[in-house]
Amino acid sequence: MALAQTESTRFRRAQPLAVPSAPSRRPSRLNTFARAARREPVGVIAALLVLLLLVTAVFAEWLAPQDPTSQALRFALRPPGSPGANGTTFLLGSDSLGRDVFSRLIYGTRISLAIGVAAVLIGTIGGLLVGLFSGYRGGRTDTLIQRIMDSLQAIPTIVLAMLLVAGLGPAGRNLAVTALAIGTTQIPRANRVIRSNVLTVAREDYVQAAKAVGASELRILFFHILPNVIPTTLIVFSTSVGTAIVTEATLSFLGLAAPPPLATWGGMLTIQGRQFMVTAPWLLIAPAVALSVTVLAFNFLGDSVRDLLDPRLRGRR
Amino acid sequence: MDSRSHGAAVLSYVLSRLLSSVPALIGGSAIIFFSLRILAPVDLIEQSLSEGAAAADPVLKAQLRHEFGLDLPLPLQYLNWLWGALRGDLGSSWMSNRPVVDNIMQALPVSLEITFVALGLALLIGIPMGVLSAVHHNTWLDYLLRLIAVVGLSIPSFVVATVLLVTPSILWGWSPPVGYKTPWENLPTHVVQMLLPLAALSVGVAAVQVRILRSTLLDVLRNEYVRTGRAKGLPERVVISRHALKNCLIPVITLLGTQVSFTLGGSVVLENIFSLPGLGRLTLMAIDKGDFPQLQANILYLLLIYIVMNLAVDLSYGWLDPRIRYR
Repeated sequence: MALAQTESTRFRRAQPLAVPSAPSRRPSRLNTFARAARREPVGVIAALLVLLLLVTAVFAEWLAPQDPTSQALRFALRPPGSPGANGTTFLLGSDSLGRDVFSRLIYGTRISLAIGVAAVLIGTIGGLLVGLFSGYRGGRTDTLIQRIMDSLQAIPTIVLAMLLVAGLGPAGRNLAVTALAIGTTQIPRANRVIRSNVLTVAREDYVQAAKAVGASELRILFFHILPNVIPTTLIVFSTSVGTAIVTEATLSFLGLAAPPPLATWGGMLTIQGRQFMVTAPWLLIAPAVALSVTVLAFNFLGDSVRDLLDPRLRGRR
Repeated sequence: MDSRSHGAAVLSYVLSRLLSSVPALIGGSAIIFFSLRILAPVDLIEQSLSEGAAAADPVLKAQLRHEFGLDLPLPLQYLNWLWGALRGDLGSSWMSNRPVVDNIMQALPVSLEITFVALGLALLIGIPMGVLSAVHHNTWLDYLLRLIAVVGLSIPSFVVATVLLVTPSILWGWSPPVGYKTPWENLPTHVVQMLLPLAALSVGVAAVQVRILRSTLLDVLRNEYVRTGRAKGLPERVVISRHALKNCLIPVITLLGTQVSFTLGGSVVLENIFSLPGLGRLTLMAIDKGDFPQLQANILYLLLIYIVMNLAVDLSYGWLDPRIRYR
């Protein structure tokens, strides 16, 4: 409450002093955006980077100069800038099978982002449903569900993802299973954050009022509680994408995600390729930088989204 | 409260916590058991008999299935396993035919060493960085340290590990000695072998510590007792280290408890990169071969380590803040 007041005082102070009686206008959308951007300049840069990555992922076919899977052993391990077949150039060099590193990097963007976002969608929606139900029901149901979530959370993320993916054997080495497995590992955390929010919202007067007039449980959950936990859910979503991308890359790195011919950043760094990195360091630098910058951008963007949606947390973590 | 009754209180607290973690262990193992058996199309019997004439013999197959208890309904199979586990018999590995516990006991010291030393290193790096960042807050030093922290947080540990492994190789043609040595066999070799994985793992943990410590310390520094300390002329060093820092340690230690899971997961990946014979490599091999008893036991141990570490964290609260009492 106190924070809301500081916000509004700050806004009032920005009004022209000469017209104290002017009716307060609602700031336009553009204005709101500009203010948010001024408050979170790093977030804006991160958002632009994420936008660039999204464009790269969507338009990979047009942006990649070469086919990411076409091999040409006579062009193996060429340094960045060297000429390839038919007048092409290996902008970032070529790998041990003569494939263009730059094109593989671009196609890898697609897999990283697609799996990252899909997994977080699964994890957040799963966590939202579990958290809503568990938090609202309370009592024994809540205790039971939370104990299960606790034991899931105690298993290291990467181990749980490995179990889910690898349990399926070679059939599990596909993108849908990878996304589902990573999404599952994210449910416990999303559940925990959203449930604690549900607990406070469920005590509010309007929920009690809805109960008093005899609204059904589903109606209360989806019309009265859900809208009020959306900001928290968005925060969970935006702060989880980075982790999901790292998990995907780690699985690919261990050879447990996308099958080999597909270009993934984790796969480009794999142990089998390490022997070539000594003579061809671009094989290490390109995917490592791409992966780190992407995760960094998503983490910064997540922090900014959190700060904007929940000013109480500003400057934390 | 005198010290003896306090000791008894702590003991009964530890016992009740351990007892209350039993459902979590059973729940966790049940989740793993059922999801593995239901998800996995890998059939050990089919797999091991896939070559040779025996593959076609249905009688032999049924006999083997019966021997392994695989012909029972799933819930019964789980109860069988649980009953064995309660008696300390977790079964034998399908892969090596040795009791799974023997394999784990061989691998556990490596993983525990990586996990605990990495956590310790992370505190050694993270606490000074966090303090500097908070004390000099909103200066270039603060921005630099925060940038380092967020970068350290964003680079996956396997990338750090690969860079650490390949760079000396490119620059000086040096790579860590192959063939794992225990500290008793060859201490210098052991230290060199552990150095890179520990560095790779502690970076990420320290980064999170810096961020939490900075924000907590900033909150604490606004307190009355800090102002009092300064007002009575205590040197800033004493105010920070004695008065402020000690009150920041609870969130830092709490975070450390949750990071055990992250560190254990990280050690799984790093053991594979650096070929260290720990629990992580055992787990990945078991996954690869569909070795359920081994996998099941490994997860149980991972859960146990997590539970014990978090109990230790809760106990440390009483030491850090004497107002906290255990009930």
